[in-house]
Amino acid sequence: MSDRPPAWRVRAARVGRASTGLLVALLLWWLVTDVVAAPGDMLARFSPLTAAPAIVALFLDGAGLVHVSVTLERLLAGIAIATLVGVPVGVAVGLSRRLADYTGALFQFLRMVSPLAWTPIAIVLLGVGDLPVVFLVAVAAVWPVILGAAAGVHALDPGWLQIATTLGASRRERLTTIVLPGIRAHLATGLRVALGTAWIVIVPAEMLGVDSGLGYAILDARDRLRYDELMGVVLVIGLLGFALDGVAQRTSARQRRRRHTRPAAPDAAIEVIEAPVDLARTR
Amino acid sequence: MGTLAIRLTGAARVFSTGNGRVPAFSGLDLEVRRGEVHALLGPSGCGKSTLLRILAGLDHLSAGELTLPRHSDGRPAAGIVLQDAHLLPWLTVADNVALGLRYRANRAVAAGRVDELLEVLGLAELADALPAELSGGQAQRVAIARTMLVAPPLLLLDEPFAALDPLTRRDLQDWLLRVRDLLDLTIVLVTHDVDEAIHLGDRVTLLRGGSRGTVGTWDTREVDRNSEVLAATRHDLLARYAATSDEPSTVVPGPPLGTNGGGRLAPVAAR
Repeated sequence: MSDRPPAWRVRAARVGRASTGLLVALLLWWLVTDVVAAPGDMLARFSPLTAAPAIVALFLDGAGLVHVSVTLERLLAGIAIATLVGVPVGVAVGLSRRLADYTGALFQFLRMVSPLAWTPIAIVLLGVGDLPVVFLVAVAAVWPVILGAAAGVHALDPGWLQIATTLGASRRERLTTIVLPGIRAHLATGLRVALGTAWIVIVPAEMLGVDSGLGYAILDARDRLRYDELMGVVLVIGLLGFALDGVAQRTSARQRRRRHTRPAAPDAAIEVIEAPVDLARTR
Repeated sequence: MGTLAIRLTGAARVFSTGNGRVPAFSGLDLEVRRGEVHALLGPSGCGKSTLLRILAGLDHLSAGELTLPRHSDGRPAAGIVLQDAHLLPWLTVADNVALGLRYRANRAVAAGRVDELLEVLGLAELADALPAELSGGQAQRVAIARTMLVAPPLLLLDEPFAALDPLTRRDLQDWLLRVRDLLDLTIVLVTHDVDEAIHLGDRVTLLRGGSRGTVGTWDTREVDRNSEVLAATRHDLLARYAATSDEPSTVVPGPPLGTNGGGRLAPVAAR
């Protein structure tokens, strides 16, 4: 008999500790805005005691839900574009050493440019509205997707490709039956990183040239001097990001379990691809 | 028996490396008869795995001639099984075995053959299992089944049992011989284990170390039934095997080997 506590108890203990951490943070927030700061002080306007009812009011009159759904739509559109572009590019870079050589430095360079640096260009080229926001989200999300896909190809068992070749698989058939299913775990990790980056980028991206979304809601609250509402939106952004990452993490973990493949650490998606798998070589 | 499945003459494979050109093997002649288990025995680095990859179409000769059955698209009509099973971890056993059916090249193979093959090979109970749930021996059986589903009756095995424990290995060796009889296969088996070569092989070809062709080919079909002959052949092979690794690499392949006395089987088709 093992004296290890049952799984539910371990889980409950962890949830308990996480909740304690959040409660302490909330307490600190309250201390700073309501105890330390003098009443009537600017700091006091950011109190959690006013933010909480502001969230409720925001969602009761429907505006909050509109902002949330508009932001999520733009986020999904950006991630979808990043996936459509990033997966083929990442697979190609993973498969071709030459292509990896050509693109390595370029990708590192582009990856290090904050997506927000493209904002003026995006607005000049795409006008104001949803398009530049979606574009900036896609620019932010595409790199983790590319690197995740390439790392996935890199981690493929070369034996799989050789066996498929001797079974008569064409290049395209090796791609659809071995490469694409084989990189799913790494891709899920890349997408999780992409989602996090995109969520961080979308809020400032929505502060320019749009009249809806959570980023806009922050500026709007500031302009109306509704600091309670502003803090409420910040809380909503954090909560939604937390929930989105939770979903992504579950998906990615399920991929790993189902596939019984080596776990792809979040870092794996950020690794520089050193030795790409050469599909042609196995012919 | 008698008709040839594979004929290799003056074969060489040379790799270009940073230090110049390194031969994996050269001056190699080999004949594999239809329906036999032909064991390629040799020390590490004698090029036996490279040779098998060439027979499978995964690599090519630098010189020499290779005749073997081919598909209409020029691919060698041979299936290969490597030391590790290399099963796709996201597919069940049945789906792994059926992998070849997803390729256009095998559109003539009937889907019903998967179940039939699983049954014949004693894998039916494992059909829905995932590779992670299999033992090493089971995984290797699945790998052989996957190859046999689409492969014509020429099977190339690259030390397929080397990673298994001795009991499982013996089990799988006997299983392979039963399957060979059942499906009338021609098998080329690469191994560095003299006993495995004798036990499985109808004929054993000993490759020279340092990539200088073959020492000779021994007919071992009858040896299992005669312990005296077995011991002598085993002794002979072991001695020559040991010698292959010691020969300096500048030595050119020697003349054909003579008959050995004392009931030992003389190498046949030696060069």
